[in-house]
Amino acid sequence: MVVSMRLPTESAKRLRRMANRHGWTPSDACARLVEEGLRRTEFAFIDFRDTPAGRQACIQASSLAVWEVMQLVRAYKGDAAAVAKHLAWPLVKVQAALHYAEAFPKEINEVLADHHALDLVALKHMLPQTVEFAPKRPERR
Amino acid sequence: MLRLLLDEGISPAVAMGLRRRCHGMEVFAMAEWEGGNFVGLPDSVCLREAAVHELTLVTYDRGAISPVLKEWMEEGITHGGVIFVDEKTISPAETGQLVSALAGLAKEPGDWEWTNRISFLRDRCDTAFPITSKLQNRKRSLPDLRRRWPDNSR
Repeated sequence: MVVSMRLPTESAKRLRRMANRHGWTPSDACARLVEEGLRRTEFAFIDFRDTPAGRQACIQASSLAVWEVMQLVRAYKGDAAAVAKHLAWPLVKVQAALHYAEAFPKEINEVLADHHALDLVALKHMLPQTVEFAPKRPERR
Repeated sequence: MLRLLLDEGISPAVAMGLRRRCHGMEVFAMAEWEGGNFVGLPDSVCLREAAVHELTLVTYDRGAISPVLKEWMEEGITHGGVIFVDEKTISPAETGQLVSALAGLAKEPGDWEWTNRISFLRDRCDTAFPITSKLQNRKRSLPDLRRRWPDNSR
């Protein structure tokens, strides 16, 4: 759907600057910001931030992205209370991440897949000095 | 000596476990470090401050931190070292396993210079975890006991 809107000149300049920074068109930037604004209104504790890995849905007052909380939820086999205890967060923040991930599974699964693809080999390509370390296990008695 | 700053995604219980296990080791969970002022700040800001305090960052987040490190490396900016934990062999839910792995890392290469060092920490998958083998031995020992003292099994 095409929706036209009137913007103050200064807002349009800022929008264009933001679009240029991300390599988007001003129209793309506008659509994204509207979508993010709607999601912020509809979902509790959700914020959007630019990260070196792209713009991501994050949890407010935290450096964690929603996908990172979901990685923990998977590690704890879906136990949201255990994740809340792990992070020393109120349960409601973990639930907020869960609900966001349920509403946008493709977005979260894609970021998780990107994360898993960045294995030791890919890491060494980026950061050649990376050294693998696997500590010795204690001797069995 | 290795001094650690744990990313927000790592349980503060890991910091407590490491302090118990490695006496004298300085470990900070992000939530408690500098009064929690760095929680929610960009990774580059935390990394920069960690470098000032000669702290090595421990994180599971390769996606966001590795591009920052690459850029810094190319620009000649130093950092206090980063330990990327492999979630495939050390689950974030297994805090005890992470404590053991980090304690092993702190102990073995005692003379490592941590400035600009990047480690990929993983657990050895070739052998069973010691606690599992202990439990298996315990299970195996029950029939042995019954064989030895048949009356006790009833």
